Amino acid sequence: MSLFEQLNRAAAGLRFLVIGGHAVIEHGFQRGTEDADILVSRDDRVAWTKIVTDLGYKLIRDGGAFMQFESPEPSQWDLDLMMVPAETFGRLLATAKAATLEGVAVVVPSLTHLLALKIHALKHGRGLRTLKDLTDVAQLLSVNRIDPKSAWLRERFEKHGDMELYERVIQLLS
Amino acid sequence: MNESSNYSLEESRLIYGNAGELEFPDWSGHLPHRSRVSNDVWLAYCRSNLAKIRTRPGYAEGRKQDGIAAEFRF
Repeated sequence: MSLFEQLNRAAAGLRFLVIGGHAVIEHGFQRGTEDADILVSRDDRVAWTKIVTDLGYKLIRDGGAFMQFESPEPSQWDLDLMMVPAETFGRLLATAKAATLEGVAVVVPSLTHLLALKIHALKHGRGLRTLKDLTDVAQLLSVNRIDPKSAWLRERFEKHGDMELYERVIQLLS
Repeated sequence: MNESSNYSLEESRLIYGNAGELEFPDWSGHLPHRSRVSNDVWLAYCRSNLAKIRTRPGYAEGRKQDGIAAEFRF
């Protein structure tokens, strides 16, 4: 059974957004992914920890705003949980896009919100992860025919990233 | 060459015809346009590689880089 189906069944009314590689793929950039990432409200942290561990997942890292779980099965996605304040979660959910992933109905952030999340990850990420996020941002802009010099994108970088990162993206796409 | 590169090559051939004299680039998985392969087929392919990927040296270390400690807010 798909991990997303297991989560839908176990969530019992709790909402989650699929982010990370699966959301990037849903928004048009088909690249490899090795895990599943979901975004939940910070207020539901305890409930989600129970849901995921009850599914057999093992908590391997608790980083405060995120938790990483290891799959009990070698052919199932490992799972990362990202937590945001309830207000932020509500705003992301309000404009989320319905999608079907692995045959299961889920929701992913809107393209503009996914880009904001990716820009945030670019600013705060480390190691090779930053290369992946930089590629995701550039490819999402390219495949969705978004002008990288548009004012709203610049504003996203000012708010969630920085202008050095913005210039790197502009260079990649020029 | 990985499977996604093959997809890209096949798609290029569909667009440009059977132009045997042309050299098509290896995009190494980075498609410059929406793929014609369905997302479900693609994700099934990614998932089929998971067991093998987890035995790769450095997998656990690489995964540790995935988490973002800073909280995202609107």
